[in-house]
Amino acid sequence: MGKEIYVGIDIGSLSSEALLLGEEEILAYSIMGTGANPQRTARQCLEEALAKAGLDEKAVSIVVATGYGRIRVPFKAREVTEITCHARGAHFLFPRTRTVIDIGGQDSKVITLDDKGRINDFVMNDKCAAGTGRFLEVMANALEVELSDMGSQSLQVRKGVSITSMCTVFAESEVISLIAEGHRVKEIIRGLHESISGRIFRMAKRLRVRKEITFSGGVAKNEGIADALKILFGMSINIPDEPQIVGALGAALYARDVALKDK
Amino acid sequence: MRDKETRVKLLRWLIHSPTTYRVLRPIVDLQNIRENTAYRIWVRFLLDILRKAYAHKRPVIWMNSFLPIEIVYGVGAVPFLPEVMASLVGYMGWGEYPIAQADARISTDLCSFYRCAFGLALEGFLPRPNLIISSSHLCDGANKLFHYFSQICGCPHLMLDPPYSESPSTHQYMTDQLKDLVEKTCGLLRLPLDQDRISVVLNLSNQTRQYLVKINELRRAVPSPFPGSEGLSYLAGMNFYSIGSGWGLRFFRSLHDDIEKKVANKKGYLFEEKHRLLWLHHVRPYYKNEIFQILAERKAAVSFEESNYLYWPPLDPAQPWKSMVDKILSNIWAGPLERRMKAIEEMVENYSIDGVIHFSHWGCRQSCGGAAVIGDWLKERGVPYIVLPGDCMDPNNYSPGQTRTRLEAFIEMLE
Amino acid sequence: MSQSLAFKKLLNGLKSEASEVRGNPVLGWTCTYLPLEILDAAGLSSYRILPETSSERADAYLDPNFCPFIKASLGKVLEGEYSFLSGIVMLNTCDGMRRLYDAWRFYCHPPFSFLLDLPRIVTSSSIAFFREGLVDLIGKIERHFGVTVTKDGLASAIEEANRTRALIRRLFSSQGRGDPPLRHSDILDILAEGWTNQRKVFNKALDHFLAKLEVDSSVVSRGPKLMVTGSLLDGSLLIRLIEELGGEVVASDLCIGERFLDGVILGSDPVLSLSKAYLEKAPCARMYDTERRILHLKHELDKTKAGGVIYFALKFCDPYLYEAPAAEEALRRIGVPTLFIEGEYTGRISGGTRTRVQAFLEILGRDAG
Repeated sequence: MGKEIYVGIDIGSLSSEALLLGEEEILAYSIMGTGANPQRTARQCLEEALAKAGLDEKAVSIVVATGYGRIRVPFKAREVTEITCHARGAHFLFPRTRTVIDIGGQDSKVITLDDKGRINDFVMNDKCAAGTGRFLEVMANALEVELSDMGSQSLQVRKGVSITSMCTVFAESEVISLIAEGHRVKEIIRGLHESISGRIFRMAKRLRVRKEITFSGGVAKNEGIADALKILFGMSINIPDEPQIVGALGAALYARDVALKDK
Repeated sequence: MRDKETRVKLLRWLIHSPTTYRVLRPIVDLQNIRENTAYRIWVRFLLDILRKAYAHKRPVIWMNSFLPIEIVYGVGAVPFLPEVMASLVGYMGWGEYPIAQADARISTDLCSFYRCAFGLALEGFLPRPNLIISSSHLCDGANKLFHYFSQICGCPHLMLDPPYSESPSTHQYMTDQLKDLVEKTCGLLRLPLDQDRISVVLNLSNQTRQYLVKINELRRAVPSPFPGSEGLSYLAGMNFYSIGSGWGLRFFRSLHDDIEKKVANKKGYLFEEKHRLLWLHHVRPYYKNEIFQILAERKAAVSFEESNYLYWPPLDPAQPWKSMVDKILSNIWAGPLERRMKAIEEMVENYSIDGVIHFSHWGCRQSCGGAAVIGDWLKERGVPYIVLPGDCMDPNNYSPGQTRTRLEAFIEMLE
Repeated sequence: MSQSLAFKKLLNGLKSEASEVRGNPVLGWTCTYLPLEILDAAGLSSYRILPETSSERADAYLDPNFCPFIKASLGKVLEGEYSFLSGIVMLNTCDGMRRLYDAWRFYCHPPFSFLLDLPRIVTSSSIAFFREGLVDLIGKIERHFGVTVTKDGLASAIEEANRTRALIRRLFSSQGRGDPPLRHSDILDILAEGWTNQRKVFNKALDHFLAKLEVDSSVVSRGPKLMVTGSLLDGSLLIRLIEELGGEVVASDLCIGERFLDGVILGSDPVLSLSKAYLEKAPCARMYDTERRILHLKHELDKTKAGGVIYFALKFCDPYLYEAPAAEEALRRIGVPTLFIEGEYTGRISGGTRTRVQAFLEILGRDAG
């Protein structure tokens, strides 16, 4: 009897992930850009993850899809929202998680959990891209800084330049004016981070935030934002080694639950 | 984080302490020594009414701005206007914090004045009310929000519901409602219904009204003697808050004397006046902004603003409730749009207006919804018109570049 | 075939049988506080203004930050889609509606227009006042359309409308009891047919339909039971989405749903009876008495055993957006999970709304096991 593999696929607006879960542990995962064809990306992502694990598709027991493009995954058995999946994934990695902050490519969410790790409440912001991965990409471009360097650069200064614009497009013009006025790039980056964390903090006020907080999504790799959130919420924040796969992990865990129940 | 919490607590304690207002008065007097007398009276009035509201020696009634304040003065309670308070907070540049607090509970689609007032109420900055009264004739926001305030503050809410249309029975229907409201107010607050005091208040209101009439006439002068930006701030504030009190009379008399002098000397508030503008909508952005500076640069005076249009007849102390109903029912912003349009037509004529700006404040459906109709109607009459979208309270919604471009383009249209 | 399609077929069959009332003036209406019995008694046809999709055309005639339903309505008028209307009757339901009424008149010049003054408070004086407004409306209709509205005419219109309400109540009473014969979304679609069809034909069709109604085994749902409340106006889309995702809607406190189904008690003065009955119905958030509204919601929750509430507010809908915190708090205090959705009026559901509803059902579902 071969090993059963449970697959979680997370099709986000910007990036997609596939994660293979075995009976006990995570076997492999893959991350790639979603591009214009989510169906094809889903398949490619799964194949890449299988290749990394040296496994065959035949061993795949169940596939659960989540994320913005979950409806489009043709080979899924189930679809579950990214709310449930991020909560599940975060709680698996950090069992004392009671709040999940997820900042993805185009949206952000805050989820609160009860003591059993089940969702209490959630709030989503999908009205505009301000404060998300896309926003940071646009700003990194305007500042001529590598996106992956934004975090470390912002931590090299003590204070940030205040950014008042709420909208990505206006914030970009504001940043360009600030550069022209001679402000330090590092302080501008810090200001951007403070603005983003401020938005998350205000959004989270609709819920009862408790520790521990786990930060997921691509933007969690930005240590500047993680730091700003720490300061605002007044507590330390868990950051997974690979924050982008939390949704896919949750979906894979869900897949395992379904498979075990069916048995 | 803890630091901010402590600061907020301290601020709250200071605001609730009547001594704060006593201490502030000489300081602020000194600060304002170069301002005109009317402005100084406004500040002193504010400090006085806030001190009374927080001291709670007499019952405090919260109300919305379009309910005649003579009612509250008449029953001997201390009136408190959350809307005016919100604009003050915005003026001081402190609006962001209460708005952010409110946005955690209520949609950001809503009027930022109300969100600010809501945030202030939630955070416990406002003086505890014994009663909340409001009138429904101007906007939906006031109705639901003031009702919710009464839940948060744990006190009763009484609402007047003026009809939309004029009909033979409208007047009686309203008078009965008002009498009922006043009776209930006196009952709940254990205040006697003192006819003498009511007469005094109404007389003061009428005397003040006389000055309002004269001020409005004086402002027809060319060049404009009094800036619209101030008309939209403390003049409108006093209009809502002080009519029927001794402070109100002193203020409007002083302002009248001041403007009279300026008109006699043919002194305009601008160094040079090339255009005369009418500002539509009761309010303007209160946080720091460049709108009036840009207009001044282009020699465009804001000669008048619709919020100070005098729409009500003198009150009759012998028939207090009937005349207050008259005041409510003659409100030009309630009822069909034709009322407002007719008043605008008068203002354009009386103040020799060259161009009209409609400031479309975020979340104000009742006013902004009519902006297009008013604009098309004015344009048919050859009056240049522009809509300036913006937000009076939330500086995050202020776009300086766009605003400047719009205003400058508008002035170019007039040239 | 879905039940609502079956109903439509039945209705169309009856329509072709009945003598067509041609050339009847048609009055458009927007608010369910308007007693349609008056239009019925005047021999006029009524048409509920509910555009099928959104429209941005009206942005330049109103204000961009405005209720999307109102913008859609004005947009359709401007595009000439309501040119068949002989007039409009609106109420001062909310600030947006007041301005819609002004813009409609200013830009489109309908041959007949009337704004009925709707009190926010319900007292004997306000009932008397509303009655006067109805009398005024009747007078103006009589003069403009050259018709006469008699007391008897009103009485029989009320009776016929009561029949409609009773028949629809029977449809709704099938909900929430396990093995419902039809879906909630079907009921809403059937209701919608009533707004654009002659009442007598509609009633007859409903009668036949109810007589033949059997249990539809495909309708059984073991998912979480929900109540929907708010300013939802674009048809049964949201309800259908909930059903598709495995939930079951058992109550809809909506203007397009079951809010206004209490019958009118006919007294010696039919106009007074109408005024009293309409003002005393379960209130919409626009009315003053929030407490009464919440009590009504609680009552419906008890009756239908709904386990959660979806509170839907259209963007920029002041009455519901301002009421939302009070309603959510009240529901939270009695332990009823609530999902708040701020939505558009577009004739389709956004991905964000789908995710929120699905997540809500996932949360409710896990408690059920």
